[in-house]
Amino acid sequence: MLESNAGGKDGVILEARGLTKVFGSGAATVRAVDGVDLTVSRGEIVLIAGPSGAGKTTLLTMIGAVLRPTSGSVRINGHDITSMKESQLPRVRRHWLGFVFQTFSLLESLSALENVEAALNFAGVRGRAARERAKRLLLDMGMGNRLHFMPRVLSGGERQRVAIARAVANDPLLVLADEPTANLDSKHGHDVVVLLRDIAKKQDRSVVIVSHDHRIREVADRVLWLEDGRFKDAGAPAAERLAAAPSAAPPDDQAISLG
Amino acid sequence: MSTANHPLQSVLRLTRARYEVPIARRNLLADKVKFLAALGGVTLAVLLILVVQSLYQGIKHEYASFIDTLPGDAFVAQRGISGIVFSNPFLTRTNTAEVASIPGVKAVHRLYGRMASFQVEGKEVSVYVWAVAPGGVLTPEQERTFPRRGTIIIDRSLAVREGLSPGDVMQYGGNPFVVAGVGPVGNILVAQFGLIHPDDYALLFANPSAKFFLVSLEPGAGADTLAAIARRVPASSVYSREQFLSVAQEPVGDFLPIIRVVVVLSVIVGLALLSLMVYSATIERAREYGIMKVLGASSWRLYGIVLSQSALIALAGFGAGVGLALGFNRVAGDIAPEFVTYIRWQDILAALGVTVGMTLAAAYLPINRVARVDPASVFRA
Repeated sequence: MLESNAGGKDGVILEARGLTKVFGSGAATVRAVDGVDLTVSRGEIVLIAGPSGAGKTTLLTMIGAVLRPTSGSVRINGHDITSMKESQLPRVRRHWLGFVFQTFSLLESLSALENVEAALNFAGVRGRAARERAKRLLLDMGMGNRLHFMPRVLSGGERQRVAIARAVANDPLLVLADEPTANLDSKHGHDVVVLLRDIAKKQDRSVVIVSHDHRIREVADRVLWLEDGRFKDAGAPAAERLAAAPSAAPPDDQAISLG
Repeated sequence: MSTANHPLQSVLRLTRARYEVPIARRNLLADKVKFLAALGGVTLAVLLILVVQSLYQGIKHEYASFIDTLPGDAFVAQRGISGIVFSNPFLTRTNTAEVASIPGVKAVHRLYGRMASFQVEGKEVSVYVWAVAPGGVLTPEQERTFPRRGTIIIDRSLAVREGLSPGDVMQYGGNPFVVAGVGPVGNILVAQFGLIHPDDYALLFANPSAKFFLVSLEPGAGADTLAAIARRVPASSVYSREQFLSVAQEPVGDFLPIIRVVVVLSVIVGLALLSLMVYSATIERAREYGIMKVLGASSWRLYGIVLSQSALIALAGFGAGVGLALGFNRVAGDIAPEFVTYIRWQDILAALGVTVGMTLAAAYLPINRVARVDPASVFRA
């Protein structure tokens, strides 16, 4: 049985130590993530940036109990999820973690409301309770007039809002977002950044974002630079590296005030 | 009266409280063409299974109905016969007297039967005519098989096919027979039964031998009496009512290989379409199964979605198939009077069993595919 989402000791939600993922063997060995240490506290927004192929998504999936690390440990809410059985991990994902994807990843045959409701159903919330909560979350995301729309008729920004509502539906401790603005235009990208900030600061959840998008540094409490599977501390600060890196945002995208 | 505690309301409340998003149903209905094709496949399979089986059972049922109306506790027949239509008449009046003299035998009724070609308004109509010569008093029910002289009782299928009704006249060798009744006499696909008076039968067919003896036994008479009958009549076998029914129905078993082939082909067609639908619905949504895994859906829940998809189509197809088969059962007699159908609840249950089997078989491969979906693949754009 999982404990309530009260957070670990000293407010630490996520603690990764020596996290390593090796793909392949022999001459084809690739160390996608190489001995990464990471601690994230309650309400904190951490942006992990880095060049393509740096291991950002691999790191995110290991933190998200989706991919087993080759070595190292991940503790969420004080529990070592790397030592858990495979059959225990779905429970970790549905109760402690929320996911936001680059490609939105909604279930295409379900309406916006049902997408959120289904995530609640997975966690054992059913019937009217699930429907009302899903409705409230979508209303909070400004999707009140799109509840029964199918994903294919929603804009990218609207789909991502539904995905964010789904991510927080089960009141997770930690929200993991993988390139959440990569497929959005300037305005919708801005909206998503604001929502992720609110999730952390108003709802007191931890948010780890993997992104190339320099706009996110505006809301991040910390920016970490991952390169060749390792966090780079030497040289220019991570935020400066990110600013210097090619942006995933549209060319006309300007710095956004997040007031 | 307060309706607050009405059982139906309680059930509705419970259903609403446990309601979950019907992902399986939504997935299926997202591609209505495939859904309808699979539904049609299962429907066709169930329909064919039930129709073929109902024809088979219909003929067996006709034999059972016919034999039910005959008097007697034991049946004397030619040894080694299979069926009652094509066995030879071999029992003479001497045999009748000999059997009647055996202790424990109360009465010996003689059953005559043969195929005969009647004329109806210049048209030849084949009828398998039977006649019972009673050896004692018959019950009112048994007297149904004993029409008056110069009359014939014909099976309703024959009446429908030839447009005959009570009062019409059928000729045999210049002898007129008035249709005295139309009812469930017997219809075994290859022949429809008619009943005439035994004296008419004797006249038409020149004092024939009987095909069977229908022997009524004294109370307390048993195996010894039956053995004595078998000894007294050369080349005969003595059957109980149940055994005689089995012997009568034996030729129907010749249809079983055909029925099995039709059933197997039906199941193959139904299973193929169902499997194709469930498999393609799963493959097309493999990524969504990965998404659900990331969102924390347990493996069993995902298997349940696949199985529900299979079950939804299969059970809808089963319902439609049963409905169509029952409809066919109602109209078959009008369309083709020779086809007698009889749907038993056991056959519907068997079809349900086949449907459940198809459900599980069709879900097997997709479930294996879902089990292999790597949730990490969802993060690969």
